[in-house]
Amino acid sequence: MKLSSYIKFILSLSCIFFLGSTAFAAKKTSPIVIGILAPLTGDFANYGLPVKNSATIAVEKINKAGGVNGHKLVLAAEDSQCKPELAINIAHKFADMHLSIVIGGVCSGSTQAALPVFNKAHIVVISPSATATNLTDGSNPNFFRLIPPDNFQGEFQADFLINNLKAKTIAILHDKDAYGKGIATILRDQAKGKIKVVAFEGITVGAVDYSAVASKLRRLKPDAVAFEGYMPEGTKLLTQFYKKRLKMPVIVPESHKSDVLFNLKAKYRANTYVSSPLDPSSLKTVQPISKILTQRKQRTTAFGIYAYSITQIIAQVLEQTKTINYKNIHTALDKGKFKTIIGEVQFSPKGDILKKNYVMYKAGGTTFVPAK
Amino acid sequence: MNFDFFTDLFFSGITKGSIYALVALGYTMVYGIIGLINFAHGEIYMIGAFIAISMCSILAPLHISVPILLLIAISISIVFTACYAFTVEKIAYEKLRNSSRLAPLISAIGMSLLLREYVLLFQTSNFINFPELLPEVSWLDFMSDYLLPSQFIIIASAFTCMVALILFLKYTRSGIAMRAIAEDQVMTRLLGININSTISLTFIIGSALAAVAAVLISSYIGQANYNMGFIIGIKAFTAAVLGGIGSVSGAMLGGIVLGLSESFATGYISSDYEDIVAFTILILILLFKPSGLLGKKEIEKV
Repeated sequence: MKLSSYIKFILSLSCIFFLGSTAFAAKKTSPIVIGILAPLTGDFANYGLPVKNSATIAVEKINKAGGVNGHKLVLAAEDSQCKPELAINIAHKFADMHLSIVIGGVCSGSTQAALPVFNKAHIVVISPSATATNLTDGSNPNFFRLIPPDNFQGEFQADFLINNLKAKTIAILHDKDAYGKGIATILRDQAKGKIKVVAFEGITVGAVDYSAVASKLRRLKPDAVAFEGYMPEGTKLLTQFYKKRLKMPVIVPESHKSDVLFNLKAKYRANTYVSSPLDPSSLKTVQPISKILTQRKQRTTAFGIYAYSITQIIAQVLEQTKTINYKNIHTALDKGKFKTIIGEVQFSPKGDILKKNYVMYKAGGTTFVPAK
Repeated sequence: MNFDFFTDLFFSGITKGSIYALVALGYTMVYGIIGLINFAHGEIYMIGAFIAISMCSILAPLHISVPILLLIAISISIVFTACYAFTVEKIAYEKLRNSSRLAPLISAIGMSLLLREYVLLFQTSNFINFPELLPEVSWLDFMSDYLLPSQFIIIASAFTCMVALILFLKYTRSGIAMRAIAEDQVMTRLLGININSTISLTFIIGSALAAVAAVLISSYIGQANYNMGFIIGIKAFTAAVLGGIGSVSGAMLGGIVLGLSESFATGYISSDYEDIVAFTILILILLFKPSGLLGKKEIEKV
């Protein structure tokens, strides 16, 4: 061969080796990507944005302390808008990116839709807020959550109605969605025999007015009304109930546990009860995080704090597992006790959190007050 | 007791129906005059609500009394909504008047998406509290078991607008010109009527009615959101078809019929069946009278 082509050959070989060595070097300190599936725009953005923001702070703190076994954590957040079809697409995307862990989803409906895809791709999913009961019935072994499931919320509401409000009759309304209908069905089943359910109906989300439902309730005169669904419909119903002079107490689920509820006129929510897991924002350990969020003009919400705790759990899990694969992560989550800002967290075999704390709040004033 | 409940549901239905009727008029007039189903009409309605919110926020420090604030909100909303409707017509529909039926339809759908995303980007995706603009009418308190003062105001305003529209179409020059174009466009042009300005006027009147409806119903339910035009668009369009698309009195009747059927279905059966009953009635009416309750058969002369 001519000398110049020989030299070219040697040069190209060495380039390949150099490229190869950079790749090997990169692998040693390559970042670990954690996915976030949450509504970042659309009607449910005020549930999803705090999740992303709080997880971001957690990742910053963990990386500042050296990361996980030398690797930095990186978040990949995708916007689901709480739409099942978008959630499925994002699940496929995360599978293509070969992620091992995803924080999310936020809404039960889209989480349910995406879990089969995550299951098939062997990705562990930890949710801060999806409460539909059937998510932890055993069909999704890769799913864990920090928030107590709806069946417990339905049981808790039934308990409160029987023991605290002493209601003999109740009307149950829901929004025909996975979340709302789920809680409503459990409430109805729990109430059987102890309270008479005079109405069990699904309202149309986005309808022009709800005065017909209010008229119906006025005729039926239940001791209490429960509406299971999301806040936009809930506030519309509360307005309608007040205008039709319905005085009975109204119970709504933790989707209404948000300071946005206080934008509604006080007289409309005078007799409104919100069932919710114990609010972690009041915990002392949460205050430093809350301060950072306020500095960044971001909101502190329960889901956000759960997302922060999930990030802490993920870091502890990844530190324990030597190779990052599904089996190791799953075993670590199953068996481990994790230290988080909301206290010690342990998971049950089905993926639910072991300690469940629920409180009923009254929403008549300027803040949520625990009810008697 | 049974009669009380019936009256209660009846007035709820008429209230809902008045709103559907006001928005349906926009669909039916535009279809009557240029044969286009204006899918962007629901979004025009939504923009009317948002303009009213902005207006009330600006005027809030002045502490104007509620009835006057309502009139101001409606007037300004009408002005700006009319501008939007006029612009939409000029951009999306005017140049496509002589093309196939499909082109303006796609254009309308595109315009609907554009307006919705425009409001989403420039405003917010949140559900915004709408100010209470419906005054408390105290002399109606005796009836407030069946008919709330706010419901009365909605029904009265809608009725006034509809009567005004009918008088307009019957007795004014522009109104007669609109009816003429709906009947025979070529002949009207030959008679020297300005087609473009009359069509624009149709859009403006339709959007004005939608703005009135938007302000009234948003005050009533206390909430507005960038997505509110979607459902009302479908329901009002259904009402227009039910009454006979192209017929003004048909749209009014169709709106009332739809509102009443939804209300009675919720009250006597269940909220679950609200939409099913409404659409079943639509199908039944179209089966027996395909051109709608008051519609005329489209006879093609060959």
